[in-house]
Amino acid sequence: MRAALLAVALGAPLALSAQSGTVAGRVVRATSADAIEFATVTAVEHDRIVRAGDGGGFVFAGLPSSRTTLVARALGYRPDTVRVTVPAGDTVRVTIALVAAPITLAPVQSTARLPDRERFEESTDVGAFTVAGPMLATIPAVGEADVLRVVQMLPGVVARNDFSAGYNVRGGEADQNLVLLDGTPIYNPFHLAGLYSTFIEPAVGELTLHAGAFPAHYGGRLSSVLDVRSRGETRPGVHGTVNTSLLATSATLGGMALGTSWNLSARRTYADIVVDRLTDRKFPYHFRDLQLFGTRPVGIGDTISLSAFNSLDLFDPKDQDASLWWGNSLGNVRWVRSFGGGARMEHRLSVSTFDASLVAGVDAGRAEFRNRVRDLRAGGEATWPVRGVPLTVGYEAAHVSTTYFLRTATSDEPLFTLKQRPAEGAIFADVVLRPTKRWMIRPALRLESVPLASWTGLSPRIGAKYFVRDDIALTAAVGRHAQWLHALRNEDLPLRLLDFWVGSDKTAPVSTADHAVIGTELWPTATRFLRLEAFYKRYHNLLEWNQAEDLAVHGDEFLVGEGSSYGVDLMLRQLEVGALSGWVSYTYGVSSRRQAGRGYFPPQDRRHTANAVASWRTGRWTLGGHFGYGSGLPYTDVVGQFRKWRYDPSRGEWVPPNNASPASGARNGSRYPIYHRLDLSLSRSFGGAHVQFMPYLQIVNTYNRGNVFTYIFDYEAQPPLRRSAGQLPLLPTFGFQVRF
Amino acid sequence: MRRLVVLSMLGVVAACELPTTTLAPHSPSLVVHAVLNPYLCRQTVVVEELLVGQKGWDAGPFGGRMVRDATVIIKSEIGDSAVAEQRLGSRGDPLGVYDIDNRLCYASDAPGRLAVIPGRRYHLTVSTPGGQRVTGETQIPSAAAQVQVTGPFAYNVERDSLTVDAPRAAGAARYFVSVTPTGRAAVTLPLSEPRARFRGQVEIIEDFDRSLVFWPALQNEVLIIAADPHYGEYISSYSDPVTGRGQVHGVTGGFGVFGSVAPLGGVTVEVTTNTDEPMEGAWRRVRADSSDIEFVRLYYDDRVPQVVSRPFFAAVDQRGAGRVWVSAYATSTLGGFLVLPDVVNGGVTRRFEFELQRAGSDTLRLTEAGRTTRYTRVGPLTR
Repeated sequence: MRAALLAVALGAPLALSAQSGTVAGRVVRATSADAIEFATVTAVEHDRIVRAGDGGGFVFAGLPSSRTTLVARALGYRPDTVRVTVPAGDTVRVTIALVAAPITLAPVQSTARLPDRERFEESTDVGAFTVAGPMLATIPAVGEADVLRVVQMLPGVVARNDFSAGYNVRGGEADQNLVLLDGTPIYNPFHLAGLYSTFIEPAVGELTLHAGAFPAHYGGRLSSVLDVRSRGETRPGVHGTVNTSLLATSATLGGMALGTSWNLSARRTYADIVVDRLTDRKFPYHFRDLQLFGTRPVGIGDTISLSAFNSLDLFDPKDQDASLWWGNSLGNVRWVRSFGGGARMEHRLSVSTFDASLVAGVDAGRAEFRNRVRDLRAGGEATWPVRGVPLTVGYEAAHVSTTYFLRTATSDEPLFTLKQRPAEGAIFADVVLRPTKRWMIRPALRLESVPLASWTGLSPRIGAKYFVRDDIALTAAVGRHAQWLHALRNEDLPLRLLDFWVGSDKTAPVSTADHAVIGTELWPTATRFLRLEAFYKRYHNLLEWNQAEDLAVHGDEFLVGEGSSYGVDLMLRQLEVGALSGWVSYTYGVSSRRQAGRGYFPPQDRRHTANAVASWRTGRWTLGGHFGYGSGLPYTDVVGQFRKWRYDPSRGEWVPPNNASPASGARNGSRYPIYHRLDLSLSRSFGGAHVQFMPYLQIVNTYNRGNVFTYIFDYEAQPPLRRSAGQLPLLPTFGFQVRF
Repeated sequence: MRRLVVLSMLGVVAACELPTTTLAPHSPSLVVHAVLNPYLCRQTVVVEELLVGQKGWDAGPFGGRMVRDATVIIKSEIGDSAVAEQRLGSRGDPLGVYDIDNRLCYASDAPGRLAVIPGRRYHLTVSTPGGQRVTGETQIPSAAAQVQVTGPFAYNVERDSLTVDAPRAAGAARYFVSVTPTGRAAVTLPLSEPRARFRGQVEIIEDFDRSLVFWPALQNEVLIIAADPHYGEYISSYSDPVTGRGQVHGVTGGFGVFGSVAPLGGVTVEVTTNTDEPMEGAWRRVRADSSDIEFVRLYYDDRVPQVVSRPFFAAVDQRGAGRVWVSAYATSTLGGFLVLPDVVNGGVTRRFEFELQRAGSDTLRLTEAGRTTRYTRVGPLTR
């Protein structure tokens, strides 16, 4: 392969003459700009055909200088034709974007190789679920289409309540979910106390959730990986989307220029501006997001991609001596080289930061809280066929610095300070074996080391798939996963305001989880599948924030426990290629934890979860709907209220307080009522091929179900009372979108 | 940050309220508060019921649902023990508060006395006539036999800094600094080590009113205190109103704490402040028969006005009643109201108007129920 590549590289200049030139290009998916591997590209007038490498790259060298028609074809995609002028003695670059579609070949109907189908045929991955960007907009939402709200509807995922975009996967805690944007972790992808995620919907190409036993190139979290990929614009010129909802306005621009696909998105809430301009009051809060993505073929078979992201929440009442802000920033560069024949390599370099700051008071009453995370990361992998068997080896090196301190005017010294410089080094290898036509086995190893915790661990993973028929497969996977960054948060709290990340060290051990999954997948048609998976997870060294921690002492921030989760996921999915798409899913799950000899159910232990998501396009109308059902989540009952007296150590007297505090019963020993909710959305597009206007209406909680968010107890009342705080009521919202 | 989280959640809660349910009554558990302090002569145990919607609260000084006639026994690891004596109110009524005398304060032993010694382990049993039982255990942090409290030193809250050091104590889980202005309850703040460093005035950030720690014109005692794990965790933890969880209790069979503290050392400081406003200063009554208040010290709290709703406060020397602090409401530094809480006058709040005729004037008029008393400035705001 190297020799062939060298021959092409050296031979190309010799073949050039004043009357010939070169066409170098790439075949990509129209939705995400991801490479389409092994597409064929025909130079029609010259009767030449080349096969794109697995990075999507192709080259025609020595083509006569003239107008040339290129036709790209790939299984599962509509062919596309591009006309180029071959420059004399020079190279023209071209990107051909193919739209996914089932292909009908009379009398046999072939199957569209959409990501899920591709995964079914060529991967042993279990619990993986991909949603294309365009689907996101059709799912009803509160104000804004939201990536993490869609994730909450996937099988195996529990959403604690309507107010949080956080989620729990197959019984795991919320901080066990790795959220990646173009391969780089984001530490707090939330706005507004977790009500919205930081992703701008039109900027998302597709997302894939790995709900368990994920592949060896993912590390650092115990429960799931959410891999969000930016959308790459592949149409020439400049295109965009402007969206105004009741919450925010966003704008996305993208296009192809000089062989580079680019996409720039921005979003900002505007309530602060409206209130400021129209009233004499202030609403001193806003959030904003900025996302940039670009990708460009470089040389023969090389592609460079760049992602940048920034989000900010700012609460700054200037007359209140308080300010609160937090935000993420991210930048990464990815270099992919395809050698053809299934050989490729990829390297990534990224930086991801999170900062939070709370300053309140002045002078003697000033309190200052800061949390900072800096994540520098390099990673990559190379895949090489060895006797026809693809072998992948890779590496990841991360250096994270975390700073967490609380200072008050009580003392010159911070009340609490924790600075860490945890690092992780990992290497991994996996191989996809096909001993027979029906068997696929993927053994893998991931070796990780966290020096700060003096920990080195080997995480074996193996997946297997047996094709009973071409459209039915049995799957199984087991694997060990490790986590060395932990969120310092109270998991029982139903909202997820911010996560404060702390690295494993000698006092906070590395957590591990063993996953086992078995299942089956059936594809009755090319665009529809049914999946059944049973899972079991065993957690070791699970860390939970110690609410009685001494701020003055490092080492007591976490309590260590064990736990397990098991259950079954069932899903029927209609892929997004026709008028009707969506899924129906059901999960039965049981999760338990044990700490200091006491067992309890964690707050995400929902036994029954069901979701039905549908999008139906008819003409210019699109109707979307979501119905969610969940059995009751555990909560800690309040059995009374006690008065917390204050002790005066100078006089030895106890002073009674003015109010009473809750006295809790057995931890998570009670359960809330069942949850269900129906959301609907309706949109219509106007306009022509160049500009489309799309007003939309969304109705959340259509039949105004009174779902319980939490209980507030009053045992000072006679008789005692329990107030129920509700989740979202019936809530119609609307907005307007322009696409060009 | 905790407060912010809780406030956000309560905001959400307030926005979407569903119907209220009346809860069925159930029998209340016991709540016990007990801390051993080897440097005090009296050890106090408070016993009350958990509030579960009972009808009728105590009319006594402590409110709540105090538990009377309980048997409170503290036993040391060497086998000596004492039964606490229930404290009686002014009319001889039992209060639900139980005292044990520290044997070390007395020349001789007697029933109800127990030697409370640093480093020693103690066991508490509280049992009620109804059959409820709460137990607890603590080991008092080891500390030096004598607590060194030096001073008094002058401490200007607008200019000075103060460092108080103490040695570490074996068995201490946490350290605190306690600041006690004369005549007022102590304020306790957590420390990272047995060393407190102050720069000027300090506010209590957990307190929504942002109360001050140092009170000008008074002597303030600053003590470094070691706490055992039970008491340390009890006062450091809290129940958040959303989950109901979080508070760590240090007893078995009920709620509350049985812990111990050991003061390690400290200083007393005479707290002073700069004179920023015309009315600030110490004032003496001109005529002895005009009012029962002989001295008034007025201080203007110059923090941000939006935060401090009561920018004035004053120290009053009252004939026969000692010195107390009062709140003052005013919109101008030249005039306003002083309000004396009922601690001064047996349950009657007293309200005064004050008037300073012009900036720099040495005459202050204090009017109560139409009767005006003149005061003359005797000095700046120092003790």
